[in-house]
Amino acid sequence: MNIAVVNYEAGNIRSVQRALQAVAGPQSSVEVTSNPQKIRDAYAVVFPGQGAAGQCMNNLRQTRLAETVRERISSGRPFMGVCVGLQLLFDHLEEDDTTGLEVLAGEVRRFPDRPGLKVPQIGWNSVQQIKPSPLWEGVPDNSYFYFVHSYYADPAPEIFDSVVGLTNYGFDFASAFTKDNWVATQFHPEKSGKWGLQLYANFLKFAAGV
Amino acid sequence: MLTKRIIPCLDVTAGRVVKGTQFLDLRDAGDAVELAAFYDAQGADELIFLDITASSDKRETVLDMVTRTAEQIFIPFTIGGGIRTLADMQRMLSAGADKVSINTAAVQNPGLIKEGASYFGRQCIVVAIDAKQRENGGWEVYLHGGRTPTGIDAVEWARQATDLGAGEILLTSMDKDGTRDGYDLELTRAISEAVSVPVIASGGVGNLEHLYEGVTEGKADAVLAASIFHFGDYSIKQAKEYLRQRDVLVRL
Repeated sequence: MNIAVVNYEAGNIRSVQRALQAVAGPQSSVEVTSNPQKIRDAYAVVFPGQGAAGQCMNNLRQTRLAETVRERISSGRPFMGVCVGLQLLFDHLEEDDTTGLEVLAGEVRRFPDRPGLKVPQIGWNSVQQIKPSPLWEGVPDNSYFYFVHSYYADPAPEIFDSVVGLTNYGFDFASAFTKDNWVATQFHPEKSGKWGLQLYANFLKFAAGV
Repeated sequence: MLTKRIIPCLDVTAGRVVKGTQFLDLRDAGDAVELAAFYDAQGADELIFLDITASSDKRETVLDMVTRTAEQIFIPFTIGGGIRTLADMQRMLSAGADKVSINTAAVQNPGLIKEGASYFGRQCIVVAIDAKQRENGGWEVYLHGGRTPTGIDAVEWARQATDLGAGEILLTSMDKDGTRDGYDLELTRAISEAVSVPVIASGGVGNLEHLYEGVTEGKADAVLAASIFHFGDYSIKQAKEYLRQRDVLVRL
């Protein structure tokens, strides 16, 4: 099994690689790559991300990986976005007034300032499984996952059907998505201990069926 | 809802864990990576390694420890101690640390906070503050493990560090550290209310009640402890069960 982790200079990508390697096993190759051909051909693609959205998007455009990522999703082959890698799929991001990859309809907004709710949200929060998804196989409802973010995805009504998990931080926001050939999470499975690894394993299993 | 985090702190030198009383009298508590995996299995929410080796020739052992930890545990961890430049941060983050903690270097060169935040993202940058009570009220920032006073007000510094890009504040009371008398709750609350980012309370934990006080009276977002866990007084699970019984939201 050949898994590509998209490398566009956006944060702690090694930890994503290590977690995928741990669940995929030693026979599988998990490669951190910015090579478009490898991303096109991989059995499964994980698109991670951390840090400033504007800078991330600039890197994606300059390296032309923006096109590669869009093509991969529209090709119908397995794809997973994580954290900023989820946010960048949307039309527009408030952070640095950034135009996203425009794959998903909606806006990525900053958490409002509210007393007692700090921004960024850092730590373990629960995910309510509002719809069945291959991601949830063997994962108890309301399990905790690790979040680090100041912005959250606010999907447009036409893609509500892809939302499979909600998390509450003052209000409910969409924290997990599944649709056709792609899945995405706002939290970091690679930092979410046992259930995070289970979720990556589930993605690889899902990829086998796509 | 977001849970309160329990963070064991591992003071390390050359890959081994030590814990000082008031930072002086050191005792050995085991291999760092093994202990990290043990705490992960027990349900620790995060780990912090503080490298207290002064000599730079041992730096490679720390890097090796970070790499080995990242290969074995899948919860977030922070490394602090001896990080002075962007290049130092880069090395630790590339080796697999999720966050770096800076203390002395941040006070001496506050621009480092800003550079680190814009380069790596503010979620990677933890500013550690060692504070001591002033005779006439308030708290002062100390450097070098509590030996060097700076004249800087701790609350003001926390605010400034956050404005510059700190993603979290790791706050240690130098008066309480090693005493097992509980956190400096007044200090913790003052800083937590002054900044918009999470505050990790540290210094003085002797029992589970102290953890409870830290997140309630102290308004901390996370509580750090070392010796109560290292020497087996309590397990992480016991600590979490205790907090849950008292209606604090934790990951169990």
